[in-house]
Amino acid sequence: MSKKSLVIAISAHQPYIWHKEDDFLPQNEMLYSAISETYLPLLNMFSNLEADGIPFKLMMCFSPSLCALLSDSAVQGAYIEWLDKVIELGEAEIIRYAPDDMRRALAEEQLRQAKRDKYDFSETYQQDLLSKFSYYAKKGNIELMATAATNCYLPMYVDLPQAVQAQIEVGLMSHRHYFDTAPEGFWLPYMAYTPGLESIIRPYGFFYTILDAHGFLFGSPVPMKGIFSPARCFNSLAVFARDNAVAAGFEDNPELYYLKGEYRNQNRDIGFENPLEQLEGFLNKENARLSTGYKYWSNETDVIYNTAKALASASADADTFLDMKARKLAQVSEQLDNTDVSSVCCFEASFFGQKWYEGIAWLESVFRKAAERDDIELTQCSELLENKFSLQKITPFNSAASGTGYAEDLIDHSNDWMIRYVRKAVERMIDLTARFPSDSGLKERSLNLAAKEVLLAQSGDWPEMVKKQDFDLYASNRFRENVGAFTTVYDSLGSNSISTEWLTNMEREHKIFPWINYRAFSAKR
Amino acid sequence: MENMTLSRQYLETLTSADLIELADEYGIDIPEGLSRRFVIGELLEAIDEPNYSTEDDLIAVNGNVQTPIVLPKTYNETQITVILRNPAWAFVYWDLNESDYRDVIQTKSFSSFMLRVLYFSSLEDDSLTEVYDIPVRYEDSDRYILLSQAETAVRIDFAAEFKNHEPRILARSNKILIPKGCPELTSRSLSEKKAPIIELSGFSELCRSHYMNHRQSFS
Repeated sequence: MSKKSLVIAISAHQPYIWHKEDDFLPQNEMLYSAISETYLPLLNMFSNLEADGIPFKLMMCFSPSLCALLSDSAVQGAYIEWLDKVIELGEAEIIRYAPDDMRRALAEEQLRQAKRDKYDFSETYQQDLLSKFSYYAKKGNIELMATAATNCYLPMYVDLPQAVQAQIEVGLMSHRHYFDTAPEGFWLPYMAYTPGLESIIRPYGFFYTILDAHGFLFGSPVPMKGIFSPARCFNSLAVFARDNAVAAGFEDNPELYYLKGEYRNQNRDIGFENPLEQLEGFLNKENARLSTGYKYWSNETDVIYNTAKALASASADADTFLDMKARKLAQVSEQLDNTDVSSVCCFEASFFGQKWYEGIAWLESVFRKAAERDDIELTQCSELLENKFSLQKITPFNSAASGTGYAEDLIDHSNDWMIRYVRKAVERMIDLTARFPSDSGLKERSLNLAAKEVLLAQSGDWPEMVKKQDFDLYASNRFRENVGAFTTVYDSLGSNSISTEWLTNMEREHKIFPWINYRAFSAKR
Repeated sequence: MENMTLSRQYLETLTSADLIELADEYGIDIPEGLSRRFVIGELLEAIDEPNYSTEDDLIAVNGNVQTPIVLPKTYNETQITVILRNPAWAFVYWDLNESDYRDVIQTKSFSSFMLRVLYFSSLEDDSLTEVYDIPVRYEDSDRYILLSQAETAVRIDFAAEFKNHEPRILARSNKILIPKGCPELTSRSLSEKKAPIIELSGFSELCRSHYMNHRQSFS
């Protein structure tokens, strides 16, 4: 009987945003809610599965910026302080809703969850979530993929190969630093591919990557097994196709999935509804409202959330998902004379918990139910590459899982002004690396900072936030700050003097990549 | 609320219910499940039309508004760069060195600046298959260009045009390949039958969404 494999790949990324000042509470909250709603629940789910002896396998990719934030002791301390405020608010909510049984019960449930988050984060995981993810990777439950240093849209730099190399090299160093493993897979930020990237990726020891389905199906020649088997590029970098039907199912019909009536309405947070005076500690100086984690409503208009009903629905939806995938793979296998087939389902980590509150419960059900079935098997990409040299050779087409399939979100009238500055900084960084190949002391420190700032400026997060008007002014300023800091070093190297106070401050402020070596930008010949 | 300045800062202090009411006033249809940030973004877009104050001075605001770092308007280099936005559209930006600028405009017969779009049969081959010019103003520094899908490689030159002699090429871009392989996106090709495995892969849906998004470009 042929094997029908299902791969669940989760990409976990957070822009490099965290500030110790309270003025940036709305920006910091993005990270705190990601920890509370996604990363802690994921780990707790893995722990439940492990305790019950349920075999589970998935793929995960943690971006270096997320790793830097999760491992920063200042961020860890601030997250605990944030939870203290959440707990305090929950206690006030219980008093406020004393006469309303349903809402009080929900407030109590969510307060218990906040207290559990604090306990799990501080005690169970000792503030070190990455180590626990790493533990499951070492046990074989998670196959970790590496990614670029800063969520950079790599095709934008394909004419500057040293820039792409630097992104991959620093991303790989970051992966080794946090997980101490040699990853076989490379996660392309935005799944953005252009022919030629494979020649830069493969020499770093990666065996495969994942592309959007149109990169695969519009490739040349068209893959004989469609998206249901990996193929390989001409240098034998294997490529998997994302099963777009999964993303389309969730995004085109959200009311059948995460926006279903019984699921929790993630937008109706008390932070957006209660009077300002009830939200002390959750407002910045301008009284900007932010999410507190207390959400009492379901997606059905003005119907109070019912946890038991929502969890039952998540379990039923997991059955539907597995039935649908098993049916499809059986049909595909039959078409291909009963050969082995696979489907790669990709999700952003924020989909689970943050976007879809019950998404973690759904995923847990998928693992539990898949373990009981014999018509479908959860697996990891590396297991599907046993015969990698027999895979069909193709040249994939330019593609991305963003915009309308390409760089439309990152090169747009709202943000295209950034391109000339970031590319100029990249060109100059490459030039500096050639000019100072083996410098040490203050010059080396300055060059390392310059490399870090260029990598940060290359992050697609800034143009994306500008385009989506999501903290757009903040994102523009962060971009200017990165380019400005690089230019300060560039000019200092020209004038042969630099303020050590400024340098030290910048190193402290942007703690990401403390081990960076600016020579990542050097020509590899 | 009608006399209030509808800044992002102000909108972020409103409850979700107030935001939706405001969106209604502006005739913005907010579908179920949209996040608060999106609603604020839609409102800001709706009120984005210039509405300059007639007051003598600006209003001071408190809080953490960082002074933006000023990036240079020019790097004082004569250079042009092309990058692909998608297989049909290229983004081109250029810069002009001060002394090149002076040289050009001091030439009496100078008439205008332009972009020359040159197509080639391959990246390696320099024989031209097509060429055309696009006039640009001095104050322009970037532009989107629709690429001919019938061509293979493109280069874009930044040039100055003169009344009585040949244009002077000021900068040449990198030559880039125009991606090939995207299926023909016509109503006829969309209805053509494909191999079952390709259909099961979602090929028709992909082509349809490509047709909807790119039909004016990929034809």
